Amino acid sequence: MRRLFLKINAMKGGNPTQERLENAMKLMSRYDQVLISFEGGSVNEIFEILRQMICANVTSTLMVYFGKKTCPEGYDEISV
Amino acid sequence: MEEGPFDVLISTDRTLMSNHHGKEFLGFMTTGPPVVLPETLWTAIAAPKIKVDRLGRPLEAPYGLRKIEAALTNAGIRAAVIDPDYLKKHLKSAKVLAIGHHDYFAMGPPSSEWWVLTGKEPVNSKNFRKFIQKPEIKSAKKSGLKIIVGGPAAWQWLWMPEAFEKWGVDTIVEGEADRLIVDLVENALSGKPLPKYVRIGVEGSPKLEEIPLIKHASVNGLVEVMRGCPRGCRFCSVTLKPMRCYTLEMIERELQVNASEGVRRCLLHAEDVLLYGADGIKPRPEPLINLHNIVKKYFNDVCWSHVSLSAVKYAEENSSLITRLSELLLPSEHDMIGVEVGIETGSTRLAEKLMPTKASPYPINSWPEVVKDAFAIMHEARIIPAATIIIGFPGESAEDVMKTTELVEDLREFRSLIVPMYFVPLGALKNKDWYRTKPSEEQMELMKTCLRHDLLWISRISDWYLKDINPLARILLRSVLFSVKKLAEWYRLL
Repeated sequence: MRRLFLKINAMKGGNPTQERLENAMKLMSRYDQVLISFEGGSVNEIFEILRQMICANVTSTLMVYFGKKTCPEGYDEISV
Repeated sequence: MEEGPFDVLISTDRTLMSNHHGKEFLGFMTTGPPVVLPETLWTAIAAPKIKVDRLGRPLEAPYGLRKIEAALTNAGIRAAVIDPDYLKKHLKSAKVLAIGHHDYFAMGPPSSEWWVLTGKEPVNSKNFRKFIQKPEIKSAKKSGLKIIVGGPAAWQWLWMPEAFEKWGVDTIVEGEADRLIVDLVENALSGKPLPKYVRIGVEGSPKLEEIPLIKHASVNGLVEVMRGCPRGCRFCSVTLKPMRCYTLEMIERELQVNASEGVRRCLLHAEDVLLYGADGIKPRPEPLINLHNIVKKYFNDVCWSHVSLSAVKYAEENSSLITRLSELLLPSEHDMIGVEVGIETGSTRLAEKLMPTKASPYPINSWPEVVKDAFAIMHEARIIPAATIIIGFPGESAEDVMKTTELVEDLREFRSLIVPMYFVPLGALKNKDWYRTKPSEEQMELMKTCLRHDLLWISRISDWYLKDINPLARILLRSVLFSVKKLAEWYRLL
């Protein structure tokens, strides 16, 4: 099983940029399971990003955590 | 049966924790606001309270909740489905409340449409709000209760961040949770952090052997026979699920559960019941006849949830299968069954774009003919289609809508109900005002055409459908139908 740990900085100030988010979504599709950790950001901002992922028809299994979380063993890691 | 106390309570609001007087179509009344009757009476007809045991466990419960209950108890977790009126005493010791729903915030079809047309909030979302704001839930939340929400409407929470925070939801679970719910609940019980949102993808969906079998009766004897759909319509999420057909042994075990707990009927559930054991999208007689023979061993009253119109046409034209199944299910000439079907559009242009294999094995440009042929076959076989039409597709033109109106007019001679539903555009939902968009002139004409069709048939259909329900409910429903008809005449819609 291919697993990805995706760290998203959702703090105010334009992070993540739309371009970086779209690139991350393309990458996510190559993995069966994606563990997403949001650092900062309000629930509203985080849900906005999740809605974009769903509208982009990402078919991987997503597990979304708020707050810092370290990359578990066996996962590739990227940060946007 | 487990006697409690329960660590995990599984529940939902009254609009779903009901057997709808044994008539699941009455449950659709909860997707709208009350008409003519006061809300309490409307809800009592659409979703009466269900019988419970001394611990408040319902004697019938929604199938999805029963699956979660089975998954958790199989894993040795003390869990039970509890009626919403009996949560209080269990919440004092429970650690997790798992909630399922079909339409938490009335954003799905047809709730969103009734909201637009009437300007009033539907009964289902009002009931859910009352449920989640119960003082006993609030108080248990303060003591550390974890709330997990799921079911077919789980996606709606992503558009309601304020509600998510205000009501202290811990985790949203979207997708088939039969397998994953065990890990989630075990983490909750052992105090580990929970993900805020889980979306179960293709890899995470349970394999056939991982789908738990229900341990207690489901509402109106609903039993799933397969999951997934091979047609790939672009507007439907079911098509993203892998196809899995239950074995006859699995189905029979669930039938036995329902029969042994006193349920007197069976509702076979699949996105397309006729594709059970099919060769791709071509129905095969043998698996379907075998399936129905097993069901008839336990129940006389059997019906289907959904079939596709192309499968109806193919099955009848190639093996007279609809006639044969009708003879098996409907021994008396006065018997009928109802089933949900999807017309969606009468425009071949839109059909080619959005649902290119909906007519398969027939070409998609013959879709209106497939619909008419299938309606004629079902009329002869005494199967009543409750059909959906989708309005507001992306890229829909006035001409597309007029083509659909023409198709509905062509179906006038066939015993059926046709319900127009708003397309729910997830992408456009961002501003949350999408459902307040007023319909165009052509869309209004289509809705009126559907209303005329339905009012033509509904009296005759209701004579059959309501024959064995509570006499008071029957009188009240007939008075609602009479009033709607008179209002339609008054506004010159007929």
